[in-house]
Amino acid sequence: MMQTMIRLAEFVFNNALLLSVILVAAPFFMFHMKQLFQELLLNKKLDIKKRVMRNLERIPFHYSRWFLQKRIVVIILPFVVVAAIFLAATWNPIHFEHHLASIESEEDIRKVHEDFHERFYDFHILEAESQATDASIMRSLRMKNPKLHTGIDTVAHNGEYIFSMASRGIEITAVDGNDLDYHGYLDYEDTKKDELYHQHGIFVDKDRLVVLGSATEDISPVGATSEAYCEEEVSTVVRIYDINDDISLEDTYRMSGKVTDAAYENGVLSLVTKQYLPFGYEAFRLGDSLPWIARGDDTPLIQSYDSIHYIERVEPNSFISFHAIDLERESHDFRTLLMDYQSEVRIMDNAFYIAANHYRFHKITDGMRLSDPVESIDTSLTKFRVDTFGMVRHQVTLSLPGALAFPNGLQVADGRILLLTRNEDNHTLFKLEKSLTHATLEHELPSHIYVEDLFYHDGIAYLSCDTENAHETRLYAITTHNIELLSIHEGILLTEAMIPRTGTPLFITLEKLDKESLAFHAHHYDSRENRVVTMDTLAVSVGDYKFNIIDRFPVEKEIHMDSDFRIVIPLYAFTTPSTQDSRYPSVLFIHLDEEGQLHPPESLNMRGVLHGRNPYSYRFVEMDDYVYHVTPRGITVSTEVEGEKKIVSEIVFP
Amino acid sequence: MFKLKAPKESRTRLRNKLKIIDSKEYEFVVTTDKEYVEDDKINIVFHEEDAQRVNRILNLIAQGEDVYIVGHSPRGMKRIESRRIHYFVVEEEEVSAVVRDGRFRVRMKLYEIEEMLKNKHFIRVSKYAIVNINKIDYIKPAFNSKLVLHMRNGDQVEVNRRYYKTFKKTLKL
Repeated sequence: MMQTMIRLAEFVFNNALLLSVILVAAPFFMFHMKQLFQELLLNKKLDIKKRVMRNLERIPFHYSRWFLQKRIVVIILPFVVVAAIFLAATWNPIHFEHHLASIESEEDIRKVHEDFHERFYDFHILEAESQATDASIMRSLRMKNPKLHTGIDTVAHNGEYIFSMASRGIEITAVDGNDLDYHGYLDYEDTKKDELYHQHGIFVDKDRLVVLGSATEDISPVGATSEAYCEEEVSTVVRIYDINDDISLEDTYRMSGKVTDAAYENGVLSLVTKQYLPFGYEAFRLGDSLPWIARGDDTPLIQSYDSIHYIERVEPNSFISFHAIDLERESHDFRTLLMDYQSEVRIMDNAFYIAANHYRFHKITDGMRLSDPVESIDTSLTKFRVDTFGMVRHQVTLSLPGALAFPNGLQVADGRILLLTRNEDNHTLFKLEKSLTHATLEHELPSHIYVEDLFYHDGIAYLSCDTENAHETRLYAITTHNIELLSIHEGILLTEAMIPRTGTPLFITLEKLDKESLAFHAHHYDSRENRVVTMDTLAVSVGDYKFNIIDRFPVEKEIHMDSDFRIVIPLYAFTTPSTQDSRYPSVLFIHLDEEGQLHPPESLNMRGVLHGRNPYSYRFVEMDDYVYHVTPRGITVSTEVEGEKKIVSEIVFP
Repeated sequence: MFKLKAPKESRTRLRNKLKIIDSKEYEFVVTTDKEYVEDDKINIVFHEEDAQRVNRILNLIAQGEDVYIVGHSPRGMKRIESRRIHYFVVEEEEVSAVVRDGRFRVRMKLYEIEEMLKNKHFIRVSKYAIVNINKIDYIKPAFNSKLVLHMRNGDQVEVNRRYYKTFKKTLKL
């Protein structure tokens, strides 16, 4: 009952304008209807009266033209108005324009936001509800780790030094063959007081080390007790160090918003920052939230309103800025979109690809709020490219049928773009060239899959997904010749490889068979038979290698194929019987022969020196004949001695 | 005024011939069968083949006795048959009788005219007007519980709120 009352109140609240129109029109309608019936009745009675009186001059009662033309029109006018609204609702003449629309002022942004959200019925009466939603989104955005695309990782080297990310700085180790020399720890001395700094990725560009991070500054007013949106301001920080002689800070860039995607290609650092706009807070001031960038101690350059654009019908709830920092030219440029914070962004060949849901509303929502105002959802795909002068330019925006499949519905690889959309009946996989001028419908997939990840390699798309019936992640391949999902195997995709002799694409999956055994599978797609063929399976008893439990599967960047076609796989394991000190990381080297067959692995235990760092991460750096295994705790060097993998030196960070 | 009484099979036929609409409060019983005669009413018993003649008689009865009103115009004095008058109206403290194509001054008070014509289908509609029901072409409700009577000569006469109920009651059969 209470719920019904609240819903009723919300309906009234959300549709106040329409209801007031109806309330005003209804008395007029009632009045005119009453007049009409009275008129008809009186004239009918008059007619009968005359006939009773045997009126010889009697003219039979009839509806005069005047009556029909004027009276009825006036009476049914309210009906006509309401009918017109509903007729309009069934006919949707919206033509989407996929170009970028311009914004001139703060007023424009608020109008765009209101135009979008006022269609939704779930506009809460209580400000607290929308504030809670805003706070939750902002918190999740702050906590989310950015996606590091091409060129950026947690470990980098220039042949002389290996730089690896630690908790608050960079560990620097000088390397020369198997000689390791701890060079020092790079701390961020320029970090402000009351500022919490998180580093996300590093890379080396010739004589420069570039560190990407984000800073969260506590800006809550003194004495503030409640959690308010303005308590924390997140900014993205890029530090550029000269590593030619001594390591010194050369330049810094600081920009508003949390970095969500980053890539370093062709001398240009491409960054995407997102700033959620908490319109639910009364105290929120849009003018104070305009994107900005500051270089060194320069005055911040604030994005002007007329440099901000938006894509029509995409939820306008945040500023997404696309930055390009040209390290050679020492220049910077950025563009900003008013956009959905849930947009998927990928960076490839110095271009940003942004996919977001593109809503098509019922026409009736132009004047009325509905709990479900959405008639259909398309996916908008936009491309910004960094031109030869380092300027960020909008290139194209297009729309494809179906809502964007979250997460990872957008994938870029090999100069192509894969876009996975979904609707009620199926998923559709589109393949686009990077110019976005042409989209081809590749496959229609069942609707009951839940895509966890999407890979693309040599014309084959791999989907890691759940199905309704089996709540286990399975890997599927889709080819240009096949419209069905080709089930590869249970387990996860470890890495992509190739058969050394033929160069045929190969992919390796890892399956956990039971507590004490693993299986590695090598697959390839046979285009003649149009199916995925498992070429070889290698079962590994973890007991043989003193492994018992694998805490987690390795992530993509931790898997490598070295120059000798050995797949290097880090595993975090512990010996039996399990004791506090028996946990250690280990590395498997699985050899792939000329025909693509898997051979029993060699293993290297990290001798226990790399314990105790959480989260554990592993990177593999290959220089000359040496392999450097880098973890947050230290570096282990291995090489082949008399045909056998051996650890030749190691260093533990202080 | 009239009530037609006849066997079921001939009733509709006779009603069409005689153009009779039954009244609840009737004075005359019109019938082709003696068995339908009512003692306390005036009974008209006839053969069906005399229907046309009976029709004329019924018209005469309905019209009743002619009442004449003396009207004055610049051209002189004239006796006007009451059924030709559309309405009487008080203008500049003088009573006028409005006919199809003109008006005459009547040297009578409005209440006197009302009294004189109360059985001739005239009805008081306001302090200033009496209308002939037979000359009303159309009734149009207006705001504020008023009616506007569109007369056959094109004039409009307003039914005052005070006389609204009486007017509606008069229209009832």
